[in-house]
Amino acid sequence: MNERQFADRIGNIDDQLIEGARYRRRGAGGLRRLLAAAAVAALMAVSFTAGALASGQEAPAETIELPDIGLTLILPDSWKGLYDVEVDGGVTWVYVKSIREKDPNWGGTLFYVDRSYDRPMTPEELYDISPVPCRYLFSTEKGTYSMNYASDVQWNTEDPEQEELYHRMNMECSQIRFLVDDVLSND
Amino acid sequence: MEDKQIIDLYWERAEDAIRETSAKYGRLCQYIAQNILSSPEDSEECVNDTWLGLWNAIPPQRPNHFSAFIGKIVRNLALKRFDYLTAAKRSRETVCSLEELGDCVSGKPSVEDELENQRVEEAIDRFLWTLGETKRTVFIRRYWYFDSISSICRRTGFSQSKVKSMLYHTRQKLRDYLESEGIEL
Repeated sequence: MNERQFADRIGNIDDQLIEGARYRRRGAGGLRRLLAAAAVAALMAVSFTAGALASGQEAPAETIELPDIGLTLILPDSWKGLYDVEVDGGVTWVYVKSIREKDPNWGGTLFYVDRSYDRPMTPEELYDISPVPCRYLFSTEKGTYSMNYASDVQWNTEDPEQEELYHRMNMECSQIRFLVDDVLSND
Repeated sequence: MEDKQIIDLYWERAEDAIRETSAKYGRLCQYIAQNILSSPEDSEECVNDTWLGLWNAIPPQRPNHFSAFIGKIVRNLALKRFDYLTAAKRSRETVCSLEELGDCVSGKPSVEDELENQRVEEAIDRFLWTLGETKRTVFIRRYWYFDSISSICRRTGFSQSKVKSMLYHTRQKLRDYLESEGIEL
């Protein structure tokens, strides 16, 4: 058997194996999943005003406000001075500042926030169909919003400092918290 | 729309079936095709061919796992297109993935035999189910979805050396397992 024939055999493996290997949301935590689902339920009742996550933490040092969609991202304190934000056509890009400044070709993008689908979805529906790793934020009647992580190399692969910084911040993305406020009036 | 409803549309021969499939699984198909072909144009054509393939396959089929069913079609079509592309246009990542699979087989083309193929596929299934979830996912991402090593690293948080080592040992184990099952490699 040659490699190509073997690839065909692998191509016909059990459907459950294939679906089981679909990437799910990183840092999947029961609390966040529950709260995201709660946000959907609140939407169905057309009455939620705030709090996809409101955990009573200390005041955050770093936040990104997205007033158009009523979203606030609460970043890890350690990100202070290390990131920058770019808004382009309804998409908010968050990237590693030093990578973008030093080596614009590599982007440094950590994630972007946008309305990924023009229909309301549950977290499970989103994770089932999203081909890129993402985190469900919330749904409205008109769409589903998510944080979508970069899916290709975003740092200069010949610069170990860039790589280390990017990996650290990339790992810390799972610590980002978010608040949703008065989203229906902005939809 | 739920998968079952989309499949019903195919059975009703409603053209909305393709529109709904494209809306729900277009990105997934594009992702798989792009991984294999590394060309947006070729990938798009491949995805369009996938819709036609689905239209022809349903009915008579009624898949239980619709996303995997679609994925198999787009993967097969992309690999066929990959075979036809000149060496210069081939995706380096796909070539690497296929070369790695050389660890599991002799490399000599075998006569296609449907029953034997099925036996090999069932053995691969059994082997993969014996693996832990992480190793299984990494293996399938690399050799079914044709994800790059760096992509797997980003999504799992593992280092390149860890992913490569994991894949290497899994390939060796798979070869041993298939040989123990009496499969001629």
